[in-house]
Amino acid sequence: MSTTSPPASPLERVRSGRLVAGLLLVLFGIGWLLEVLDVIDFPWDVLFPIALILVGVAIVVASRSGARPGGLIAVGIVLTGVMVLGSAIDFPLGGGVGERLERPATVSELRDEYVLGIGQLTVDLTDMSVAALGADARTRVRVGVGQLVVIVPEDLPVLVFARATVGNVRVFEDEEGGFGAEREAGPGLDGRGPVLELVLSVGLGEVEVRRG
Amino acid sequence: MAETRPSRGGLVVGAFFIVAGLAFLLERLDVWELEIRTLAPALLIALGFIVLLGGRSGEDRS
Repeated sequence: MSTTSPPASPLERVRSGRLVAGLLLVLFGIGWLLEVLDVIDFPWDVLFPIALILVGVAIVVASRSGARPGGLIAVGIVLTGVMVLGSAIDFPLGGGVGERLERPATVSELRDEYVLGIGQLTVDLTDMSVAALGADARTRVRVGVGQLVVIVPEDLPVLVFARATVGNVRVFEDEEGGFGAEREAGPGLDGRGPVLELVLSVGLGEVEVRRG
Repeated sequence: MAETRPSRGGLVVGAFFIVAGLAFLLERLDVWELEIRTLAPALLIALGFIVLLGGRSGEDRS
């Protein structure tokens, strides 16, 4: 037994596709505009999967009415490709592009996470002393494609986890390159006192941690 | 007036995009972690299902 439904009119056939495509364009445009105007950091990371879900729903709706959602399938394939690539190389969508320098001097200035999509991100911790650290702290730094440099003062105890999906990792004098390169380094002191934990990752590129 | 059959291939592709979107959304929300060593074969399996069901859909029409 096969289920049938009334034929969709030409107008209905294009309506769902245009609706979703228009909605996505408006949504991405608003997000872009708000970022350019520095109003908010638009959550691109969650917007892409939500867009993919919307495209999937529109395709299901169009298919049930017998329409051919060719254009929507193409949009879905592109979105899936972007998401797969983003996951494969740990690319933070919407992290921005360019060269960025962060110089937190205290724990309160230290953010939970620093993110850059493409480019060079330098986190200079040389203004942060052990006294400023006070208690254990942790920060995560992610770069999609490019270089991530963290400069740590000589006396600051740090616990480092660094990873490059494809590329090179250099933590002090310890270096590894290739696919899934990882390096770790302990505080190097007697283990007492506050420690700053650094979780660093690059999708495609280089991670470098050095004393400065 | 002729009636239109739902396109099974379209339904499968749409369902795939919905599931993939949910999987990526959960990853972005740090609920779980997708790794390329599991992602690549999962995509291959999904592609196989789409080809199989798309083929059956074509046979149904003939």
